[in-house]
Amino acid sequence: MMESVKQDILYNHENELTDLLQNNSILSITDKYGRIIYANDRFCEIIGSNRNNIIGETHELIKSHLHTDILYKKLWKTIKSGEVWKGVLPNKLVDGRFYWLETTITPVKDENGDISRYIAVYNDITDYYNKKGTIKMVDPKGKTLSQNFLNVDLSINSFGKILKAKNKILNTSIDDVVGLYVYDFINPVSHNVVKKQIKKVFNESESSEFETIEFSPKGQQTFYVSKIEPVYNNHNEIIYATIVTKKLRKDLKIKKELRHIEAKYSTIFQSINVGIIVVTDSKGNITEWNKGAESAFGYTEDEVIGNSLTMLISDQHLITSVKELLKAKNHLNENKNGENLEMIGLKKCGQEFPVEFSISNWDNGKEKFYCAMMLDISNRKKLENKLKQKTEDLELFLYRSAHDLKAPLTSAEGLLNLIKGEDINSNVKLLTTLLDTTLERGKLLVDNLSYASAIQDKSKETNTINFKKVIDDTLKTLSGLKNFESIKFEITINQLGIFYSNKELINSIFQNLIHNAIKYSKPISNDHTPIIKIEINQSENKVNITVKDNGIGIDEKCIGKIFDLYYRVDNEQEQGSGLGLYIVKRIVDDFNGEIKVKSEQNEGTFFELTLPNFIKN
Amino acid sequence: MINNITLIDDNKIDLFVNQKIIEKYDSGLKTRMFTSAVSAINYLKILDLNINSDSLTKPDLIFLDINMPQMDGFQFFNELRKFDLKDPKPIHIYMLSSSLSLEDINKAKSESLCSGYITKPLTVEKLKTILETVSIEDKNYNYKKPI
Repeated sequence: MMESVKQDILYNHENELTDLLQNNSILSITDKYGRIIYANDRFCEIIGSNRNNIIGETHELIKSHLHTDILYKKLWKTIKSGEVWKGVLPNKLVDGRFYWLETTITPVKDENGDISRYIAVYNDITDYYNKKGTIKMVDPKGKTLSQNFLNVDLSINSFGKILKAKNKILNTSIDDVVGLYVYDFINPVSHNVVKKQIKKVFNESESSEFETIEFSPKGQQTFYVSKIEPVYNNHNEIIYATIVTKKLRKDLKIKKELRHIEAKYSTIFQSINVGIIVVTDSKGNITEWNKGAESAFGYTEDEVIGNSLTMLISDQHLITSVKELLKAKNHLNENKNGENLEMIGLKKCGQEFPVEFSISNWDNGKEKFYCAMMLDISNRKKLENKLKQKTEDLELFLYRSAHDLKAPLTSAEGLLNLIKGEDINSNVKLLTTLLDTTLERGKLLVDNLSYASAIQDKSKETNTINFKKVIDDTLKTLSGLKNFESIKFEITINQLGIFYSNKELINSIFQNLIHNAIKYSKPISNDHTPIIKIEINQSENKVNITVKDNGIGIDEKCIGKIFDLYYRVDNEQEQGSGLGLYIVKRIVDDFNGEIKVKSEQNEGTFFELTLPNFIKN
Repeated sequence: MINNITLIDDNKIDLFVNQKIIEKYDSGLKTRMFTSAVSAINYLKILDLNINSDSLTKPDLIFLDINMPQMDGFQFFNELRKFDLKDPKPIHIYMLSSSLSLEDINKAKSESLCSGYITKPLTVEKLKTILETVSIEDKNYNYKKPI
């Protein structure tokens, strides 16, 4: 019954049937040897070939009945025995295109009961199969292009969908990636670039390349280059493109250099006497440790790696040190400049020692690293202390020298006093007056010298300062100077509350500044009145002192040097010791104050000082 | 009343100057000079053992230099403290130095045996002030002292 129907369909209603099948299904009919005797348009389309080229040829799908593949063996066994075969066939065509076809093959027998032909009806389930495949084959997605496709020929369509993958070395196909997209295997950063290149290949029929970069879990970088080439069909249409991926040769070169550099630096890193500690951000744990660090701290690499950096910091200074470290870290994160910090390190044996870290940082895109280059500054500290001691010795030497110099001067002064008391003639009297001035100058010099040396000692003592009294006393002391009587003093004092400082040093400041102002005043004349303006404004925390004169002023060239030790402005009339302003400056510095000077030649000089109030705690 | 003044100074010129000044102020004043603090201490020791000796006179006032070799002015005070003077009448000891050092001045202030600090050179005016001060102190001392 069935047989006759079939015959009927095939022979009597061939035209209607063909039309029907032509439009709605993929159909092929082969002879008993597997040669195609009929194929509808859709079949030709899928095969990607002309019907004339197909007819008479063995069907790619079922020709291989000699194929070892179990699937085909079963298929042939079934249809040869006259049974209908149903199943899914991967349709890999000559041009490499790839379809999954749900296939039903029905054998047709002739009058003798021999199989004369096979009718195959296909359903294109590629889409469905791909989806299923995607679900099933999640694994390869996690891998990267290179891991998957190094030495693999990949065929893709214009959307980047993988049509075929073939391992070049093993010459086997990799079915589990078929239907996935090439983007699944590419670092998302490169997606756009790759998309553009694939588009270019399909639109412009040009081969193209793209490079990708990958990170190994250890952070090593590998560069790959993928070449895309279009594949054409007989009509010179691009039907797909192949992608071949290689490690970038340039990268091989880079790697060689890198290896070279790495070897160089790791040697330096290990052998250098400077301790180097590398710490990662996450927990502050030590990840690298060199010999220099080992010899400084006494810990071996094994004892330290993985531990917190705090094990190297003295407990006593832990909190401040960690604070300093965090500050340095934040500072680094902000502007990337290296930071230096000093702290007290703790050796394995428990000994503490001063250490300076030079901290720098970098990251590999995932994690931040901090590198601390360590300098054992014990020697430097020792030298610093030695230097401090030497400075103190020198101070003492200066003080003793000044002191010892003063003794003979006072002796001479005493002798001079005796001479003055004798009955002497006017010539000798003149000489004693000159001698008096000379001795006075000598005494002033040594006094200043001993002041200069004793400043640091004296600044420790604080007294309450009455500026009015200070200025009155100063003017009294200086009243013997020539020109003093001709000078007009304008003094303004705004003193609020109590000012604490060192009385002697404050005296010294005023003495020197006012002395200078008098010394370098211009002589009184009809159109010139020498004026010295002193203004004192005290607030709670500080005092602002200005001393202004309208004297001869200071040469612009010299103004930078006036605070230097032993600097003297060339002046025919006046000879200074070169100490006065040096002392003022030193006192101001010791007080953490500020001093500014402005001057114009022939116009006058203006000194401005700001001194802190040493309020007793 | 001040009759005897002792000068202790390693500098002979200063001794000479000071002696002249004292003479100038009052030629009736007797001065004894020592060029080292050690010999001055020895003299005072002997003096104390022979309190009634006529040949030895106890000074009423001493001018003491600070910077001297062997024993400086401050060490002199320490030595002096070591033996109790049998004669209860105190000696006025003034530091006479060219030093303006605050440290020296403060040290002198805190020294109980030191009566004052004056800077060199010694002048008639300075001497006058001291002698006046000293005589007032002596009067008060005598007044208080029960006989």
